[in-house]
Amino acid sequence: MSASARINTMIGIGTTAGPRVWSGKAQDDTKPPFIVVQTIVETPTNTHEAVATLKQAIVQISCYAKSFTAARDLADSVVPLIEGNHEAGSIYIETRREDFDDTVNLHRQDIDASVWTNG
Amino acid sequence: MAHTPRAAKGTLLKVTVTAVLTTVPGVQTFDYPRGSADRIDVTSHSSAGNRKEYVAGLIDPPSFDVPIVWDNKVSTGDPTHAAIETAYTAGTSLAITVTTADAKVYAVTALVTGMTLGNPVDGAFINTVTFQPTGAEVVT
Repeated sequence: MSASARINTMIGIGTTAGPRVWSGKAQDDTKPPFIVVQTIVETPTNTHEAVATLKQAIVQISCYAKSFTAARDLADSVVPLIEGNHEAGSIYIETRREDFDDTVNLHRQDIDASVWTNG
Repeated sequence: MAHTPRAAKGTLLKVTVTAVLTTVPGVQTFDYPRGSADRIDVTSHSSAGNRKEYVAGLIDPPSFDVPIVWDNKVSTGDPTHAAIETAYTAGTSLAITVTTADAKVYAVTALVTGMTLGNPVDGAFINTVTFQPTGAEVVT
C-alpha cells in the first residue's frame, strides 16, 4: 500500500460523516471542512541486490475549513489518527504550517508526515 | 577491446550460510579495499639515478565496513544477517565473496570484527558491519 493510501485509510477516505478526505485534489464543489492528501516526495532505501521496497514518503495532509480555529482543530484531530510506530511502518509529523488559501477562500493547515512503508 | 564503463549497482556481498554462499540483502554503498603491500627498501650504493629502490612485501588486507539495511529480528529474520551476527558473537570466520556488477568475484575468509547498529529517528536500521579479511584472496 502506498504511503498516501495508508494515510487515506487511517483518516477515513471518502467518509460522508464528518470531513471528506480526498486524494490529490478535492472535488470542486466540496463544502468545508475537508482534507486533501498527497505524496510530496518518496525516497527509496536503495541497496545493491534488489529493487528497493523500504521507502520514506513525505505525505502532505491539507486541512481546509472556513475559520482558522476550525482548520487548526481539524489538523489537531488528524495527528493522533496517524502518528505512531505502526507494524506497517512508523509515521511521524515532520512539520505543520498555517495558511489562508486565496484560491478557495479557506483557511488551511498543512501537516507534512513522514511515512515509512515496506513492500 | 572496447572500454565499457558500468554502473556499480548490483554488486553482491555473499556470506556462507550452512556451507552455501548466500547473498546478503540490504547492502548499501561500500568500498572493497584490495589491500596494500609492504615496501621493502633494497637501496644500495649501486642504486642508479639517485633513487631509492624497493621490492614489494606482504599484502596487508585492511578491514572494510559494509552498511546493511538490517533485519534485527534475527530469530525470524534473514539467515545471512543471522550468520553475520553469529560470526561476530562467536569470533569465527566466514567465507565471503564480493561479486561486482560486471561479474568479477573476490573471495576471502573474513572475521566480523565490528558491528554498529544505527537507530536514526528518520531512517532505517543500518548495521555497519566491519569485515577483516584474513589470508589469501582468490579472484575469478
